[in-house]
Amino acid sequence: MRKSITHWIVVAILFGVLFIAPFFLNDFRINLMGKFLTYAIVAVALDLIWGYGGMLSLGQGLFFSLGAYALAMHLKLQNSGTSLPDFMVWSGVETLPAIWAPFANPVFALAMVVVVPTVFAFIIGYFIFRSRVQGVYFSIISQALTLIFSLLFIGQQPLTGGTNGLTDIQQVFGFTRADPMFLRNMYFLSLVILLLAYLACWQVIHSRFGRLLIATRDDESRVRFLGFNPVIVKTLVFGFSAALTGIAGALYVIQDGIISPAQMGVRPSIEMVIWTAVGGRGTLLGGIVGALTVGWAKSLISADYPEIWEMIFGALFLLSVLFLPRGIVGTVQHLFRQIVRSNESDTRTKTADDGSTPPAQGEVSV
Amino acid sequence: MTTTRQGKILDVQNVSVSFDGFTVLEQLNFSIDYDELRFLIGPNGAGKTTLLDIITGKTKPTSGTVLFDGHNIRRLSEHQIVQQGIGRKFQTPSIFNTLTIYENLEQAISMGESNFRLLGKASAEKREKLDQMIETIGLAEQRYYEAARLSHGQKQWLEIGMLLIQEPKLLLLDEPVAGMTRKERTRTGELVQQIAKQTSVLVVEHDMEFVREFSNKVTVLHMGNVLMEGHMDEVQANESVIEVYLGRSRSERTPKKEKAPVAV
Repeated sequence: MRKSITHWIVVAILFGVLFIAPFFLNDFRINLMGKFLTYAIVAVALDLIWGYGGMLSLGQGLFFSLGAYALAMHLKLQNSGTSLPDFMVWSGVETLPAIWAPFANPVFALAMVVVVPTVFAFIIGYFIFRSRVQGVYFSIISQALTLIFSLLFIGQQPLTGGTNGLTDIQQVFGFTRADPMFLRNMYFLSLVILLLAYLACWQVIHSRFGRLLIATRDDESRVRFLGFNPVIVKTLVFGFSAALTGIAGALYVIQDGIISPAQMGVRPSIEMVIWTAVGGRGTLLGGIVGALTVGWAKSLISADYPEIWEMIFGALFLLSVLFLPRGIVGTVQHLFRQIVRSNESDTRTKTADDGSTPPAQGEVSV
Repeated sequence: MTTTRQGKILDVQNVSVSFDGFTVLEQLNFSIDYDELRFLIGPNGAGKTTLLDIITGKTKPTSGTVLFDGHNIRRLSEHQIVQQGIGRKFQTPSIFNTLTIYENLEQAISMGESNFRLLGKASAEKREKLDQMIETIGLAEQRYYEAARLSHGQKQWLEIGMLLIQEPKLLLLDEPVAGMTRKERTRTGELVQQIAKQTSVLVVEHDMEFVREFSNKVTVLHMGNVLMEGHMDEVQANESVIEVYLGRSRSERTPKKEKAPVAV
């Protein structure tokens, strides 16, 4: 019980700080933080599959981009009015491609933000997990997939805008995207969705289904011999994670105004893993802390040292892996537990004794 | 023994298995009756574990049929076979170390529920059953401990509890007393006999003393085939069995407590 209360206090403080943060930040920083919040959603969703499901996906950028593109397609059509989107005109396209037509409908586009990444993850996941591909092989396949798709998007210039992607989104559902008031509202929208995503993941992990997921991570074959199908468990969680990541992508694109295949590539996908790793894998809260910390560090370092920031960034990541393998939240949790334990060392010795006492004979042979 | 149904609960017919041309089981026929307690012995490499793998769907036979409770289960996957009612206890305690005792049992009793339902709580009826089982295996005090903290024997008990709570029709035990003390072995033997009153049990065991003490009918596997079947006394007196298996230890052949071996 105490552990759970401590957790909710920490969550309340974290979200409280994030709630009042915009009142102390300038418009540029609010916009930046708003995007970091979408990163945090990605990192929490990744922690669900990696920390609890043992699936290290190096292809989350794909789901992020699919969600972002789905909404950006609608926004692009809105921004272009009656004419075709600018990049299509440059590519010599004369009629709107069939795949674009339904995205004129905002409801359809919003639905696709969730549906496309989820269905993709279901299909990919099902076939990968059914073949009992695990561990590093899963990581490599997921990375290859996101690379393939980024190349596909680059190659299909008339359909996707090629390397540039979908750019110059100025109007979002009748609002001006660059308007500070709008960006502030989007910050709060991202924050609310981050909270909902966090609560949803928390609920999943602390249900019987979540424990089945953890069990699958630890011993997949045992799960089969307990009468469960781990393929379905993993596919469902992978799909759910992709859905959250897609939503994060859509929230990102309305705050940034651009989505391009660069967001889909290998590098952003690995960056997502870094957020979760730095924050603390398998802590859920770590995703939020990691994404915000890394995001801030990156923007600060890159502003002051534009030439070498990537090297500094890489060194920081290396140091955190070497000296903080549990991540920020994991390390704090570990220290906190040690303090609690040393305070109750008497009771701990007692319970340890209980643990090694074999059951009484009368009880067991019933 | 109270037999509820007549006939065979498990019928393995003409099953052959080979890995890369190496034959492990060859035209094997093997069956177990309802509510029977059967012991399976045989030297290393005889195909005992492979036979368990075939029954539980871990390995698919090259040819042959596996009938369970009248249904062909050869094409079912592992978890479907478990849902049909075959539980398997592995040699090493395979429980979920990061989950608590309670959660381990809760997972077991939740078998067959849809993934959506698993997001909610277990029914009151199941929770009650769970509480009973946790008492039966004597781990009530440790229910909220992580399973990793249990001793070896306790882990074995927990796993047996996880199997029993699923109420299998056939229970497969792979060396259940390996690594146990003499006292624990006796208790396990009694428990196995208790279980066998309600369900069929197949025990693979190396411990001859244990087999002699608790077995009724024994099947000897050798070179992927059944060498002989019968009472332990008959088995021990059989020349070919002695040759391939028991012969390696003279003391095993002439136990002090046993009656004189009966020739087959």
